[in-house]
Amino acid sequence: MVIKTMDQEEDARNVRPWQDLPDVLLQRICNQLSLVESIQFGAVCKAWNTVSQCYQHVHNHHPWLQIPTIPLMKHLSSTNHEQVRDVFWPKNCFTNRCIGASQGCLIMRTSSVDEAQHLYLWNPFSKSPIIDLPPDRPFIQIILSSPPRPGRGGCVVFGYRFRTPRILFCNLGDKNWTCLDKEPKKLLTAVAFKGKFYALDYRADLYEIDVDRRTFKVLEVSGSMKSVHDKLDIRNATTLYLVESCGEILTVITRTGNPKKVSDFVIFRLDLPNLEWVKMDDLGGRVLYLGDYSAISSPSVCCCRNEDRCYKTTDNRIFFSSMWSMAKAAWQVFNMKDGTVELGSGSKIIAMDSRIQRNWILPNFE
Amino acid sequence: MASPSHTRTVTLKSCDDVEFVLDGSVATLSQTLVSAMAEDSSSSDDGTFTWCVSNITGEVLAKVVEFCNKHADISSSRGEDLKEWDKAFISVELDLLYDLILAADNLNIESLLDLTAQRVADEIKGKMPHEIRMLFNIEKDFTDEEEREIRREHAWAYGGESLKSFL
Repeated sequence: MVIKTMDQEEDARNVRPWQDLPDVLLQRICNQLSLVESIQFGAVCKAWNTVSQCYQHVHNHHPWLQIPTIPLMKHLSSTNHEQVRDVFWPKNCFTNRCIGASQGCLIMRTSSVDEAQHLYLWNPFSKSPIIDLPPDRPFIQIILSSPPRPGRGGCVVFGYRFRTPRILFCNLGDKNWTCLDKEPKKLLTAVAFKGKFYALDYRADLYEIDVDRRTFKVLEVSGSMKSVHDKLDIRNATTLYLVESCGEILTVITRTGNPKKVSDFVIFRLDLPNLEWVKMDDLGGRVLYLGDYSAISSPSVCCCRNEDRCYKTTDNRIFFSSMWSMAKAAWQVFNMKDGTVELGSGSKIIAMDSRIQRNWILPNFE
Repeated sequence: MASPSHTRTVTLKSCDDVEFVLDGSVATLSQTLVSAMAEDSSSSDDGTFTWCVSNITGEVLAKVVEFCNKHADISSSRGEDLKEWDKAFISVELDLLYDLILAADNLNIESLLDLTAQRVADEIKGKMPHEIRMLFNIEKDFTDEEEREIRREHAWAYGGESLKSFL
């Protein structure tokens, strides 16, 4: 009779070569993980790292929400899995604030005693350094024409504000902002689209802004968008969003901060060649993420399975988050197809919240 | 040529010569068996079909057959009961789990692939890379410098807590 020692028994277990599992099986395993878990998975060994990198590429479709909580410590929260990451702002300054997000970057602002604004771009998902912007007075919204790639140019930073000059823009690396040769009316939302910027003013007139020529024109667009806006916008009770989606511009009209049901959203798509706003009954498979000063559209994505609180497919939904929202959650999900409204997670985080804006960001690891 | 619907029983033979007899409808859970049966021309008239799996042991094959029998039984294959059954079924040692994944891949059984991958993912969740390595007995093949670089690249991913602890 052979008597096994404890050690030998231990040896007999756990001897399978897990690192050599075929890639297709490793992918299956990785697909069940959240983005953060997949990064831990990729740090295990070289074979697993290769698989996790492919997966992270696909995962870039899931926006994260920047949630302000207590000063100096902010959270990024994923809509896909219930994940929260604490992110410490790159500049250790009490007045650090996120004032928007665009093209995978948070738009950050600090202010010092002399009231000068310091603006910078920061990608919290990559190790790339922050990018300073020229200083100026507060902006309502800042958007980028493309993801910033230092040294490669092509990224135009576009901001608007209520005071004149109302539109300011610069290229990365510029020391000063440039303004347009004429002034628009008060703008409420803007989007970068095919090398130009488009904006809506408080009367829902559409502007096409050409920063190269430092000019704009007000487009004569037919359709019922303006009349719907006028009807809803009693005492400025609506918010307008412009979103670039699948090669089109969409306008979303909603009740400021507090939409309660699916019918509180009215969506138009811009038929640019025919200059017409076409009302949309459903999102045609798209997913929209609306934040205070960020609006993202993403193709529908099938997320992990077998997770109890996971959105299985996310098509035809609006993920809505606003500092004015009365909902007891970080975000709400409006299903435009079946009319249901779900609360997102993070109730305790929001309980600590003051009126600081929330923005959506698509992870970009470059 | 015997089509799968004409095959009444399938005999699976493991690499250590253990035989399992399956109903034809149960065997259709395996895409590998479905293709093999469709291509087979030597099938005898009484509708039996024999398939040797050269790299799966009897112990593992018994588990696979148990899984297929349960999942092919339509009367029981519904909802919460099956979920509970799956959970109990997959509570196995990691070595057996590894063999089951490979067997599920080899026989191409979609539902077993899902279940095994989920179980491995559940083991990984909430663990740091060194803990995962220890659990699966994986040797670190990164140099210290490479490991530091990986952590630097994803520094943001290492600093947080799961939201569940807030709720």
